[in-house]
Amino acid sequence: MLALAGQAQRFVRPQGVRHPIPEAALRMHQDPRPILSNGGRRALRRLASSLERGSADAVLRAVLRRIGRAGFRLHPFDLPKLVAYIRDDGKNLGIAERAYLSLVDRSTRPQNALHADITAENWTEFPKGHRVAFVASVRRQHPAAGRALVADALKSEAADMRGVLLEALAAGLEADDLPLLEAATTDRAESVRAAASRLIARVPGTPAYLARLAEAARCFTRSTTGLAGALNRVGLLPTAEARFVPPPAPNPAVQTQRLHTLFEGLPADDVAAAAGLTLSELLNALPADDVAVLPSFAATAGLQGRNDLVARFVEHKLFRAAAGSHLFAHQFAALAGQLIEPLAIASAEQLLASPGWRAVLQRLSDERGKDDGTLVWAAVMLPDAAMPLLLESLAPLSPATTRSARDFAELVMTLR
Amino acid sequence: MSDVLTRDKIEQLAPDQASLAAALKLMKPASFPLLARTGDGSLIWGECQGSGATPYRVIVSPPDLGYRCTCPSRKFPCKHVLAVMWIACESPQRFDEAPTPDWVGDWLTRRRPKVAAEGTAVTAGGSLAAAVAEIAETDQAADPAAAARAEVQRKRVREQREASVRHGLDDLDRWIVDQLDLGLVGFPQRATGSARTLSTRLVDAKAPGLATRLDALAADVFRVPEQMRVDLVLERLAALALISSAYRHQEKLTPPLIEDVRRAAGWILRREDLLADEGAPRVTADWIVAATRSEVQPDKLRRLETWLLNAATADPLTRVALLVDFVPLSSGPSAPPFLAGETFSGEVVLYPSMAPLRGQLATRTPVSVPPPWPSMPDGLAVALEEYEAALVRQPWLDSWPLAARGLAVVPIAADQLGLADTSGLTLPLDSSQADNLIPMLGLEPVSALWIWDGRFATLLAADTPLGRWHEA
Repeated sequence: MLALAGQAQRFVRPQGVRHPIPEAALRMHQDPRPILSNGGRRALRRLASSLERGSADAVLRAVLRRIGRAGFRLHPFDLPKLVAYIRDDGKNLGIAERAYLSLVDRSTRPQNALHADITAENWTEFPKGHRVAFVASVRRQHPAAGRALVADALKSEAADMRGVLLEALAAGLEADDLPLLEAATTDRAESVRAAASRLIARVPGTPAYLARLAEAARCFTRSTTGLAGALNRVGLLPTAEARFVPPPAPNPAVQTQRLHTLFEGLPADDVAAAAGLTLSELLNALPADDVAVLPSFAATAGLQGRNDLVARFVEHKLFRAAAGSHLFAHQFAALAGQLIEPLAIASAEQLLASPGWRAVLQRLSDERGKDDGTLVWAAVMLPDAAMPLLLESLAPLSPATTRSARDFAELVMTLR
Repeated sequence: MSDVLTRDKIEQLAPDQASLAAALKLMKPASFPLLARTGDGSLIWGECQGSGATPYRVIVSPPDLGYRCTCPSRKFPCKHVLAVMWIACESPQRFDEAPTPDWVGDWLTRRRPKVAAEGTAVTAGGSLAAAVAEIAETDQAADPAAAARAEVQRKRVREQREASVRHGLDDLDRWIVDQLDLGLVGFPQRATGSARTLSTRLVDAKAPGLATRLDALAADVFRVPEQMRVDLVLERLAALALISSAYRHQEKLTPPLIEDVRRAAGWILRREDLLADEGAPRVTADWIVAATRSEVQPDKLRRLETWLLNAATADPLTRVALLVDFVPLSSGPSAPPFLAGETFSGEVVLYPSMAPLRGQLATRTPVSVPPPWPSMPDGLAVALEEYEAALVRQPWLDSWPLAARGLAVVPIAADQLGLADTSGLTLPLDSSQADNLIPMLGLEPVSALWIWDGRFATLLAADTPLGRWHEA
């Protein structure tokens, strides 16, 4: 009887009622940007599966940024796995991505998928990343307008959103922001109060900012030793080589943290001027193993929309390493991740012809090992036009060693 | 041999990049103390010192890219095979010419039917045929008395296990009656403890298949909405009762159903025995890897499923094949041996069954042109009839793959998607797939392959206006 009862039940057919397709789902397929080609999708999938865990997230973010900048969008079927890498990148969130996010994330408002563009009238309906990018872009052009947007939104947003919106004011901070920031230091959320305090210390012209700028500038001194130092001391050689002397710290980790805090939000130009150096002298003074100061300068330049400066910092770091016989991903990966546009073709050619690059190829050829990220990160920085040159350069190496870099290059070549 | 094995070919054969990278690390001379080949290089082999006491033995037949490795990896080919191929490609001088050892001969003997049938490797190198003949002679010379003693021993072990399984079935029957007496409404509350106790006893009774079903019941009952739990328990207990009864009355069953019920109890047909069984159903086709799925079982094994879709048939009995690999959880993360969406040509040998589905891959060759999506019946009604027919043939099957065209993924409740056809029929989709299936909303018509368990559909693959979608 049990078997009969159980078995009979298995022949009962389910009943279900079809509901209408949500408007956002329809909009997802109406995004006018072309979908990444099948060849590009294959290369992207291979790349995503072959990347080392340590660098996968940063490389994928850079790859997806490249796809977005080229005017393409991801295939909708790839969104579930990849949207996490672009959800905070406002410039890369098109209608399709917003529609998808609104369908899977109950906390976002579905209307955002129905707007073609983000404007001052509808921006609060967009996902977090999009809103932050919008405020930052408005700030760069009209600081007061950006401040007004944030001031309005702070009244109605949840704590985490209030915090990130406040952080978005970091682009173009000015004295007129102080009343808003000071009001935020009494916010009921600790994270918002902390963000406000950090920003106040970064407002140009305030005593806190000037004290920090002076302290940062003191880290750069003209050499006082040797012949150059002696000449400098008597005023005969005012351009003696500059040195970087950070404040003492108990260990390198603490020092890195302190340097991050000290240089956060300080433009490199301002520090150079305060130290009486040119920007080149300032960069040359930094030690080769610096992992705190240059990334801070790059982050600030990125906030200001100064891709030329970010590229200059990356090139400085890269060519310094490439001039020697050792070039490793960890030397430049953090900076490369901040690069908004690829390097110029001349810089790419210089890199691929450098002794450091030849040493990388030799090292990987001898060790028959996996790419530690050097190849793929180099690929990420190169412009589209340099990809054939890169592939040619990698040809003698084992396919397993060069897999990720080749996948990246092949993906980029499908974007043309 | 280096002419046959090229870097490109090896890369194509590799299941994933991780395997290639792992193989690369084995290229050092210390990793392979033994590397040898036949005179003409039509067969190469080696021993790799792994983490165990005995080395892994690797054999490769370069002319037809056949291979075998004794390691437990579920990737095919494994890193050891890839490494041997790679060394043969790049450093052929590391292989010494040597007579074929017994273990190599053993493998050749097993391959004999395939080699003879396909007429491939034999023509590529005379030494392979010679080696096969040599092994055949060695077999004849084996001690017949020892073989007879071994057979008697095997028979005794089999009889002991039969008796043990029947004791286990007695326990199972009593437990089912107890559950009915206690009431099915309260079953979910006592499921874990009660089912676990009996499943341990069933493992002791050498009926691990039944133990796995019980463990699965205890877990599955919480995966369905509360209002469905009693029905689920009733169906699963009914299936267990059916298996128990069928096992005791095997003389009344057809041979495939006997195979089914014995497999349900936990008897295993070894891979090599299945491949050597000339009576087993074989399907040679262009296959689309429809989906790969990974699940951790209560017995600390990872079950890796590869669902193959036959690109050339509309016949529901040969439309789909399922390859299953088990990997110990202790061996760390494991990638499936295939990539969803890839295509290949090959022969799958199916385990004898009234509802043949699970099989083993006997041959695999690349296809030059990816096969088209196969033809499928129109609408859900035909698919559901196929499910009912499969249930009639094999009453205790848990789920069955179905396929249909003219479908759409649609919302059917606030957080629930479904698979609908134009007639108004809808099947609820597994809610754990919702985020992955949302991009399919609004795309019509869709041709789909899914697993149906009577309550929820788990989509495996679909052909849509935006291209193919695969579960992975």
